[in-house]
Amino acid sequence: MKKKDIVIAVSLAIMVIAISSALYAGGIIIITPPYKVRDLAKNFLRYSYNPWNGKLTSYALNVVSAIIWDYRGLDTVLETAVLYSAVIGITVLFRGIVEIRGLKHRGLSLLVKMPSRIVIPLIIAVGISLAVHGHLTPGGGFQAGAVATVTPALIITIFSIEALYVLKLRIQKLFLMRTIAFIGILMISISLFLYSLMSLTNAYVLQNMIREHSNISMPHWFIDVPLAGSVFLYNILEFFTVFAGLTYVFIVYSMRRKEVENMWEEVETYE
Amino acid sequence: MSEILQAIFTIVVTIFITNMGIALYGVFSRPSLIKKTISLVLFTDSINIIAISIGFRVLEEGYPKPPILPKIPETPAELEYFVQVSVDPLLQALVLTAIVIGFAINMFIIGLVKIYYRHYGTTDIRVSLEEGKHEKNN
Repeated sequence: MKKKDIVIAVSLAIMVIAISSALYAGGIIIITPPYKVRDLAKNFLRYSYNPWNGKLTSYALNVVSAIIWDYRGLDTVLETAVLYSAVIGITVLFRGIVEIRGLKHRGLSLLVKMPSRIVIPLIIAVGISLAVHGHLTPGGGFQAGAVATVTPALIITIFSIEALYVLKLRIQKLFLMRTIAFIGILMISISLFLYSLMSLTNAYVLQNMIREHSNISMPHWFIDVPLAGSVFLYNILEFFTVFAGLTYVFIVYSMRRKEVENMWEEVETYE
Repeated sequence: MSEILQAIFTIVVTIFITNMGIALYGVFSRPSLIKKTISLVLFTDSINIIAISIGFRVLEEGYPKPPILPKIPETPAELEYFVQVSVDPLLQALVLTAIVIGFAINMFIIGLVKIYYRHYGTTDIRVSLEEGKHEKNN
């Protein structure tokens, strides 16, 4: 057992030294940060909000959001699919759980409960504002969903899981909400394509603004703020997918003993 | 000023490479599955920070800006100034994708650990190994 530990320690030390020296030699990344960004990054920065070049822009002030949902949109749709399949995997692992209301619960003391009653609406407000302004300010759909998911976690820790049941956040409802939002993302990604089929023009899948050979676009201006077309809609829907998915996982992981005790029994009767 | 910045940058990158090594030690040597999971999260996060730091840059005067336009540009010159001072946004977008996928994987791993705990009553990985040996002898 001792010999194994020594081998692991020595090999990890060699790995650290090797990676460090490769970096210092200028092999993989330049250890001194450069004075200029790469040309690819320059193009993204230049065309993210560029009304003087209508065929490459996406009208989003937040360049990271523009890359995530417009220039590299397919990656992000697949990433959402990965998150969705993780939730499905957890559903399969924890099949047969039942929600039981009215079990004994206590929660933390009043000193913790009162401030959290004030803080929880504020956290949800911050999450929604991050989602709605995702294309204008730092933020975006996933960050907003992750911030808003703090509230169910706080409620479970401070009050009890019963409080979530009182708020009508049931796992079937959350799963339905998540599925509808994910289908919404897929529908928006092909909406312009379907529209072009009906009106006999050209369009691409995951298209946002006017591109080469295609003259239709999502709305890019709402009264006096830039809307960035599908980036805005994707951010809202991603907020719902992430919020519903993570809340679902939190509820499943904090089930009480009585709720999980006949977890796999239903399955065994199937077989 | 930029020499100091570069020295700090070098130290930070080296620290996170060392952190990668320590996290891998946790994955290999700790018997508890929870501690293995925590080490895996630390490993992913140190790699993500190194990946973000590839997109960092220094300027001859002043500090680099985040890749978000502070207001709607009115002239092309204003936009060109933003391109001259901003850091690389592509790495941040890729790391955001990596974080989400890592998150999904960690959620699933924690579910598996909970199932393991339900079955064996402990998160010690050696318990299941010993039980496997016992079955083979029979």
